[in-house]
Amino acid sequence: MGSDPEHSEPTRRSKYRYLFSPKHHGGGSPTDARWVEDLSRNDEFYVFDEADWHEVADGGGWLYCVLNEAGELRDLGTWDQQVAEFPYAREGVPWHGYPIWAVNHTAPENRNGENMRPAKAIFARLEEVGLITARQRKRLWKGKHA
Amino acid sequence: MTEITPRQFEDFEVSCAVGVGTDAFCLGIEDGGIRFFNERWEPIFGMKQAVMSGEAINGVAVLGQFVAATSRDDVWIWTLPRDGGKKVFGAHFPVGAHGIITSTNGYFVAPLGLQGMMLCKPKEGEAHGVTITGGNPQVYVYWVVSQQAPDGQHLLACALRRQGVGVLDFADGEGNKTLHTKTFSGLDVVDLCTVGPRDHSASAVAMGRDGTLILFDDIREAVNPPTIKFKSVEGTAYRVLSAGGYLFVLTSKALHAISGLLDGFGKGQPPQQESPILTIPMEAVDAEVAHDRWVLVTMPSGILVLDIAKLKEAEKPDKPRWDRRTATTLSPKWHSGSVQSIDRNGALQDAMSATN
Repeated sequence: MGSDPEHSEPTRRSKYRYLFSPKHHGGGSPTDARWVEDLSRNDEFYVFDEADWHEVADGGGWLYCVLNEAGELRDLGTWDQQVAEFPYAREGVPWHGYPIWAVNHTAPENRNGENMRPAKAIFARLEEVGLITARQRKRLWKGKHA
Repeated sequence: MTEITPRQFEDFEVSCAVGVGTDAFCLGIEDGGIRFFNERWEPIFGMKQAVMSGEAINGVAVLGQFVAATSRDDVWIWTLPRDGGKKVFGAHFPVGAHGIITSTNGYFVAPLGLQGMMLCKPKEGEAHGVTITGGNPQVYVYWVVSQQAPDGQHLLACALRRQGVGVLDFADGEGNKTLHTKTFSGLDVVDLCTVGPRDHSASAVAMGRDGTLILFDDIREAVNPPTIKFKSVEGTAYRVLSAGGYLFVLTSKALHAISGLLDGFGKGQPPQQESPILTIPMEAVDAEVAHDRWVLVTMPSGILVLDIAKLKEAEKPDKPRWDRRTATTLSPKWHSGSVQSIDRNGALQDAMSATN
């Protein structure tokens, strides 16, 4: 991490600020989702900015996005996750995000109500705005790499 | 192409397609349902909600009167009536899976990603005992195949993404097991398939996400398995399948049928360097072999059914669509390891009945 964990510019549409969370850059526990090291901070912010720009949001205002490079989805996380999740942040508070896999990994004994997977409508929205193809939508929907 | 028959379905969107029994088929549906068809593709049975989450079905497997269906959010095992009745009983396990298979010794086995694997030997009239096998250190189980070696040993071979390939001696009963792993730097194993009759073979092919093929004559023993790549296999690799003497590779750009590569496989002979390859460009979602006769390709709309017998006819020398391609041999530095399994036992929850 650099000395300033916040991106210098806000998002284009909503002017959201974005924080590069140390927890998701190796500073958390081994079970915390981590961005891949070869993804630049600018690319991480670009994923967030695209999510906001295209309004890829669920009912709770959480944002989601992918990074499409020449038609193929790039891995965003160290567990080969290809979708990023950005939890809703109150007005004035910087957002943060992390890669999330399309499969619910929550074990029964520690299930706490969070599904840890994007809703189906998110993938439909990603396809609608042209960020993924129908093939990629169906792969991700099934919990497969796209 | 005469070997391919497209099938469209007006009232539902297919998410996966598998063969069941000796000649039937089952389609998973995007809204969580499943539909069974006979060998003439006439509908014979269906369940509107095979997983109650309503998520897209990503795997279906059948053991006797038990039907298992999986999605990225849940696993369900249904007990079908023996007497022709319409009431089915379901048991639920609330964790996402990448699919499900049957093992050579009568288990349902579902790869659960970071959770490991779910192992369940269903019993009629009882709560289904279930074992979750994770690893220490943690491994990511993305796909699994089951096979019985010629010496009788039951094996589970796993695609472990960046942790490579894992092999587990899968005997009946409980007790910790050791997952033996093999990988090399940069490898991302997304699929593997058995080669030969799965009840009498320890041969397998694993595939990296970039299309790299790893050929295991005996997956238990290989130290430096032949590792090759065909330059013409482009895009993101999704599936590797073996049937009828062919190796099928599905990528984000095409379905490739590779002929002759597996000749001599399981007999200690090196793979052929040059193979005829038929490349069929397509934007496919998934693929599966059914009854050693068909390749069922799930498309964004409907499925394609590839007849392997007709493919053999099309491979005759006067047919121009097959190109001879030379594989590049890779010489990676393999690393072996072992992961101790951690079993957690429980019963499938929330037994319920449903009429479909």
